Amino acid sequence: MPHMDSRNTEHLINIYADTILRISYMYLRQTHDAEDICQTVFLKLLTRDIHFENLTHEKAWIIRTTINACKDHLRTAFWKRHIALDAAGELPAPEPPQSELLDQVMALPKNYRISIYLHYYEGYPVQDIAAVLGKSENTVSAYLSRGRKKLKAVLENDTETEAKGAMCYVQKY
Amino acid sequence: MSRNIEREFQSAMNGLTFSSHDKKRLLKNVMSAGEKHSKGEVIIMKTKSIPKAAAIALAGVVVTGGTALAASRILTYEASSPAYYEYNTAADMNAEEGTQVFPETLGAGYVFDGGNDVYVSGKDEAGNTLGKWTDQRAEYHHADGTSVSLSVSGQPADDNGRAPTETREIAETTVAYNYDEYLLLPDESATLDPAVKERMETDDHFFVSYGGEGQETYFFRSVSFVKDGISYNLNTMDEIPEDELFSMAEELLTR
Repeated sequence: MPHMDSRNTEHLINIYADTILRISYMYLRQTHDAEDICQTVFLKLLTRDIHFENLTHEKAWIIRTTINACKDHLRTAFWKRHIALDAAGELPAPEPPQSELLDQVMALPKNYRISIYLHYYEGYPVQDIAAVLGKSENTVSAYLSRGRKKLKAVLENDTETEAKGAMCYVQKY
Repeated sequence: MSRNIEREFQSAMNGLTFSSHDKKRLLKNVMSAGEKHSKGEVIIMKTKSIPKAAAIALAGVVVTGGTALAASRILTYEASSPAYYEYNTAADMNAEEGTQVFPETLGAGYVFDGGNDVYVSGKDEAGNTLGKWTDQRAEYHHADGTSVSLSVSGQPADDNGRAPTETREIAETTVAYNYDEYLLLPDESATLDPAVKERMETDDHFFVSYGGEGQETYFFRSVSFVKDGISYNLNTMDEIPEDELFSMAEELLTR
C-alpha cells in the first residue's frame, strides 16, 4: 500500500487537514462532521494507488474528493425523515471563526460560497475552479460575480445602518 | 471584492484550523482504519457517537421489512456503513455479494467509484426496532464532477402510496422517477412554518429532513424499480436529466 506509513500520513494531515476542514465548513456550514470527512478523504488517498504529477495536482484531487465526500454526507442526511436522537457525547468540533463577513459569505448559496473560497482563499483562477466543480468557466464566473454582488449589497446596507445609528446617537445628545 | 474584504475573509478562514490534538487523533484513526483496510476488515469510522443516524442513501422509499412487521409500520430508518469504500471495483462487490448487479460503468461516462454494505434498521413510532437488514450501495462518478448512487435492497419496497413524478415501462418493468425537494433543518426542535407544514401534508415530493446547520433546500432525482425481487434505486443530487436516469435504469434492467 503506497504512502501508508505513519510519517507520510502525518505529513499529509499537516498539509491538508485544515484545507479539508475549511472546504467542509464552506459546503456543510458546520464543522461537526469535518473530522469524519477528513478521515474519509485521507483513507481514500492512502489506500488507493494514485499517482500525482505534482503537488498542485495532488491538492486539486484533495479538494475534489472533499467536495464529493461532503455531497455524500449531505445525501445521507436526506434519508432521515425522522431523527432518532441518541444521548450522545460528541467530541468538540473546531469553532468556526467569529466574523460578520464570514457569516455573510456563509449565507450565500453553496456554489457561490465554495467558488468565493476557492478563488479568494485558495487563489484558484476561474478555469481551475471550473475543473474542480465540474462546471463551465462561465458558470463559475457567474457564481463569483453574483456572490460578490450579494455581499456588496449586504455589506453596504450594514454600513448604512451603522451610520444611521451613529447619526441618531449624535442628534440625541 | 475590495482588498480589505478579501484580507478579512482570508484572516477569518486562517482562524479555522484543527488543533494539534485533533490532528493527532486524526492520524491515529486513519492509521488504524488503514490497517483494518489492509486486513480486509469492515471499518465503521465514527469519531464520536452520532446523535443522528448515519444514514446512507437507501432505496429512497419506505421499506416495509416483510410480512412479520405488518402490524407495525416502520417510520424511522437508521443506517450505517463504513465511511470509506469496502469495494473498489464492481467485480469485487459482485463477487462478495454473489450477484451481477453492479456494472463497472453506467450511462454515458459514469464509472464505478466504490461500494459499501449498508446496515439498516427500521423502527416504529415508539422507537422499537422492527427489522434489520443489509443493503448494498455503489457510487458512480463522471469526469464532469456529477455522480449517481445505486442502492440495492432485498427488502420489498413501498413508496408509501405516493404518486411518482413520472413512470415509464421499460423492459416490461415499471420504472418510477421522482424529483423530490428536501428542506434540511437542524433538528426536530425547529418550529415549522405553517406553509411548510401544509406542504408536507399535500406535496408528495416535498420532505423535511434533519441534520443540517441552518436551513437549506436540496433536490433529489431518483429512478426505482424492482427486478427479480430486488429493489433498485438510482439517485443523485446533481442535475442529471431524467431521460439519462431512465436510460441507466434500462441498462440495469437489460443486463
